[in-house]
Amino acid sequence: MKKLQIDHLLRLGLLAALVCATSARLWAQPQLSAAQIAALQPIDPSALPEGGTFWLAKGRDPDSGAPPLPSVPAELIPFDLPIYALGGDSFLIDDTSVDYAELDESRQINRAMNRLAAQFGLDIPSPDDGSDGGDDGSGADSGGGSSGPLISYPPGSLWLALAMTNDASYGNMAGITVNGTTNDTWYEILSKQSLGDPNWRSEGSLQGFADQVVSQTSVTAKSGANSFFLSARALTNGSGGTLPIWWQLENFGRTGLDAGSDPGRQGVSLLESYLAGADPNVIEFSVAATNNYAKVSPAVVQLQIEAGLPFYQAVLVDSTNFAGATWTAYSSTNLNVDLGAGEGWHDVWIGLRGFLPGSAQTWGWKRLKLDFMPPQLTLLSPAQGLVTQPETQLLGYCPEALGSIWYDLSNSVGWLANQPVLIMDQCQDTSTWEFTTNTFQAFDVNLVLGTNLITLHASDLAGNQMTTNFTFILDYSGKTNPPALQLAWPQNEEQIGAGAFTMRGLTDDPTATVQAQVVSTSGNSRTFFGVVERSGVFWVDNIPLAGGTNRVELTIADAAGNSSLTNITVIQSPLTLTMNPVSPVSQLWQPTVNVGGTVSDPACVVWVNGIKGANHGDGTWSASNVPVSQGGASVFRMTGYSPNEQQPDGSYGN
Amino acid sequence: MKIKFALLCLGVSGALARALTTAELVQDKPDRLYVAGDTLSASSYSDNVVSDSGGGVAEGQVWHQDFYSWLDGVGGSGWIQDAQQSDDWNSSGFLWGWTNRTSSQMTWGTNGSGMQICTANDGSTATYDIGLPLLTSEHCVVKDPQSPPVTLQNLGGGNWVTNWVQEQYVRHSQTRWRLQTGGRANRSSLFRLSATAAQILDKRAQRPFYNVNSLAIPPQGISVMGQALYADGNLWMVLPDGANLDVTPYVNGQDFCTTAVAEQKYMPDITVNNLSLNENTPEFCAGQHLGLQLAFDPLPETVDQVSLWNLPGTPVNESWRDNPNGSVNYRFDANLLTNLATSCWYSSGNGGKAMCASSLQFSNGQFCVLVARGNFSVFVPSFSGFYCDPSLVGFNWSSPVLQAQMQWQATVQSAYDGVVGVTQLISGTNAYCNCGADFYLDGTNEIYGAIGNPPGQIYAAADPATHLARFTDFRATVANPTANLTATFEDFLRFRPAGSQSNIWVTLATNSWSMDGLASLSGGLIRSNLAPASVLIQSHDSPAWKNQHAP
Repeated sequence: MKKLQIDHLLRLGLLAALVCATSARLWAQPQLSAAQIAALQPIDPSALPEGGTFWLAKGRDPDSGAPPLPSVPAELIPFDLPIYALGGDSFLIDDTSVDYAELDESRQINRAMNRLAAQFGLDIPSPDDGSDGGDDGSGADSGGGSSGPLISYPPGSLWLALAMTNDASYGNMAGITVNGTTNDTWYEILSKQSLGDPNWRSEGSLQGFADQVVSQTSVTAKSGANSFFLSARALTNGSGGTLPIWWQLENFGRTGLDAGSDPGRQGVSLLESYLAGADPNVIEFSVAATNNYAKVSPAVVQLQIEAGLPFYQAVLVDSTNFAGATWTAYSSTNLNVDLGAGEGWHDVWIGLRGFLPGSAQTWGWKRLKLDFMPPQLTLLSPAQGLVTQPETQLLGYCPEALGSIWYDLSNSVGWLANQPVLIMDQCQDTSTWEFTTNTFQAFDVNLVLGTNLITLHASDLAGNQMTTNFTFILDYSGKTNPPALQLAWPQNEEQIGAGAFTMRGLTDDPTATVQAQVVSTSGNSRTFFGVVERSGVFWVDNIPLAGGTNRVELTIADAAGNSSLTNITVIQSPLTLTMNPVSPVSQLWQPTVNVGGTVSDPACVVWVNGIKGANHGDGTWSASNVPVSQGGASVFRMTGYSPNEQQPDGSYGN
Repeated sequence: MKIKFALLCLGVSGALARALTTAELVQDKPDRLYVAGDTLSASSYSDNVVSDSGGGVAEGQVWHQDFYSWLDGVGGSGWIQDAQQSDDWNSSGFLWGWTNRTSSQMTWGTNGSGMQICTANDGSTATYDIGLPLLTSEHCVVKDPQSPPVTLQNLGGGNWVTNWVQEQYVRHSQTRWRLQTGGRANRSSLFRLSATAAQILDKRAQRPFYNVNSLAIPPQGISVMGQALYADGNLWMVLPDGANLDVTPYVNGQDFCTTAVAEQKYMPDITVNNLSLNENTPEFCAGQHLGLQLAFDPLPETVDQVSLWNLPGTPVNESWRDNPNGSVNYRFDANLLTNLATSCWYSSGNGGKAMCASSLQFSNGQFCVLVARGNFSVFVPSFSGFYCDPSLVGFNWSSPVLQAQMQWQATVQSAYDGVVGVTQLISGTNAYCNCGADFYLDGTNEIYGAIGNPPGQIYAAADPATHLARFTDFRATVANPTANLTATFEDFLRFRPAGSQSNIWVTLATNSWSMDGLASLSGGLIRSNLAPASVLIQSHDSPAWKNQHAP
């Protein structure tokens, strides 16, 4: 097993530098040639060679306090390389002439294997036993005993530089700097106080400088133990990256997580989360439901996980006692919520958290209405039973919002199914923020003589369905009077200043037919059919007006055959008044509009819908802020006043 | 209803001055989709307490409340209240604190102009003119409290800082849409409703929702008027004109979403000979070929249409004849009413309401049934002044020729130009005319005495001189050795409107007469029964014959 782990690490190209640090002597005096020693003089940095390997301080001799001397790696000793003192405790070995590629690769691997094997408790030399490991590689993991040579590492390998201090409170402290870093790569520093300890402790992380082979900052490790083992390893994104096992377990309950992955969809990789000390599994989610209205409990809600990996869930209904919530293993994004037995709105709180009991909890809120009752449909008009009009407007209301509503009609003619019913208005409850009372109308329901059964179907937003029957018996036998008629305009003997006019008025029977018959001077009569709105307002459009007196016979008849005739005469006035249609026509929805038209008398004063206009004397007039009548058609009544006629405001003339 | 009567009475009273000249312009309103109302209520509170190991505590509290309600045509009101409070205690329990409160009151009139009165912390006020609030269509029921775990920051050396935050956030909003279908409330039109909705993912997003995370909601998840949109985002509906309907989109299951609605009205219009029945009650003359079509303004994107027509009165729409010498007859074929366009003729009646029920299919697979209606009138020419001068009726024997003469006249009244003629049928079972029990066309032309076909007397509505129609039948036979003129006649006074070649003759009236004359070279005039024709009786029956009598 250990062998496999070692192989795995090697395959990942990791090379850890293990440094055995003691509170006593860390480094032995190096073995240098005379030439090398001769060269150990401070030089001007400008005189440095372009390349080389920097070596850090090896610590002063604790006894003599003499400055340290560099330990030349055993592999480089045969090269007799020049060494430059850089000042302080740093040296530069000019190894530009060394072709490291030619070095024995197998030796490096063996050394690394030995070194890593030591991490797993294998037999490794004691830092104080004087053995440097030599070519067996163990020396590479050592700072070198007092008798061992300083070991150099091939390019691409890591090694640690320690700056040791001793603190009265915290014991030994090592300022750790990683050498051999690559650009911007992060490295983790691990420690253990005993090689027999199977666990490594994370001391922190460092990032390599760009274009330099040294970490940007150092981390401080402290230990009161006599032995302190440090390890550094690269934390790499992508496949093969490493994350602390404990960190993986703590946050996700498992290992083998890809450091470059972002299973929690935090927008950063696990490695970045780890390095930032951030929670890698902050859960963000929302609670959704295909329907906010439920007719059964439990209701199903869906969790839309936007970030994080939930491990546990909790549900609260009409309670915000989050601390007392019972957490169960997270199962799926579909959650059954027991809304209880009480109808109405319920506050549903869904909690999600990560692996640990102490993981951050995220709560989402959803409002669901439990509704068992089918919608109650109330008919406002017409009253059930006998009706005398063959077409009716079925008006009703429901105290709750409706998802759908339609009707079927059955009578002696046949069966008409799935006829539309329209929602006319909805009341909004600003306490529950829902639509409540819906008024509805089935338009233009055609009835036939005899029994007409209207079956109203409706379902509320929860899906509860209601079917209600209404019976209407169309019978004309009791209807003996013709429809009432009230003529709005023109009145009898009205003088009309136009070549045609639209007769309009109101009847109490919207199903009545209205006809106007005009007898021309040649004796020919012409029939004009009117339209009657559902409100009873009727219009007979564009009746031509001949010069002089015109006789108009207005006939209104109901479906039962009752009719009445109203005769009026209207006179074509010598004064002509016209108004230009309002354009754009959408202005007709405004409360007021500005209008204009023509007038044949330059002295005539034109009033429109109660607003006095201005006669410009050139055959045109205009008026501002003229009220627009309600309804689907607007009516503009123009009245011309001669200068000697008193106007509605009591004035005369323009 | 009473109120409307009262309003009409007011309107009437306004026109009491009979000497005044009045005129009216009636203009139908278009459809209008509009935001009918908008309500927003938001409340938030945050409390942030920071304490340190030194015993210091700092608490900052922020309150914000926002409300407004606005209704189209009514106006609106609203208010904003903000408060901040800061409390800092040192380790000795000494408190520094301050509070800041500001508020605003807003009102809007029906015309959209508004006023805002802002009250500062010191109680001073400032008034500003404001416009309408930013109308954004949305539905929002959000509650988003936040109480993250207390954080502890260890500063080392026994120093620490804790941070405790609690937030309350509640926001409700509802925008309401209405559709005024426009026009007069006696018909229905086709509407294409479309809507979009987007789920707002940021629970605390604020209007106008620029750059907020949102998720488009599939059209099928959006309902308008209780019906879900189709996959193409459209919903075709037949809606009554002159109605004001609630078209607020509803997105089931959504607590926070923006919505938008659009509509297009397709106004149906039956046209007869390209004259709109929506705009007028056009009049046509009996006999005139009427072509009826269902038009839309604008034309909807239908993929299929099946129509069924219902025509007023008793039209005919198909001609037929038994044999080449028989009459061209007209009948009503209901099967011809299932075409997208139909045609007919009227010979009687005064018109009425035409209806066209259409099943429309759209590209999204939806069907709609639309019934369009419209009135037109039919003018039927009339006659008067029938006169049959007895002195001009009778037999005349001038051996060897036996003559019979019939002459009558009538005045035709028509508002339309055309041609007047008489179709005469003959029946007899004798040597002169043997038709069996049937009536044959007397002659070879539909209009008796005419040389061409269609012949007849030109009728110009504006020229009274052309209005008198005279019918003259003068026939003779030569005795060899006897002469027989015995037959029974039915005359049809007919009118054919000018214009299209498809116009047909229509009957205005009928009468009848008979002749029974016999003379011989040896015995002279034996029988001479020829009474004046009977009075013309109004009739719109067309003459029918199976053969022609061409003596």
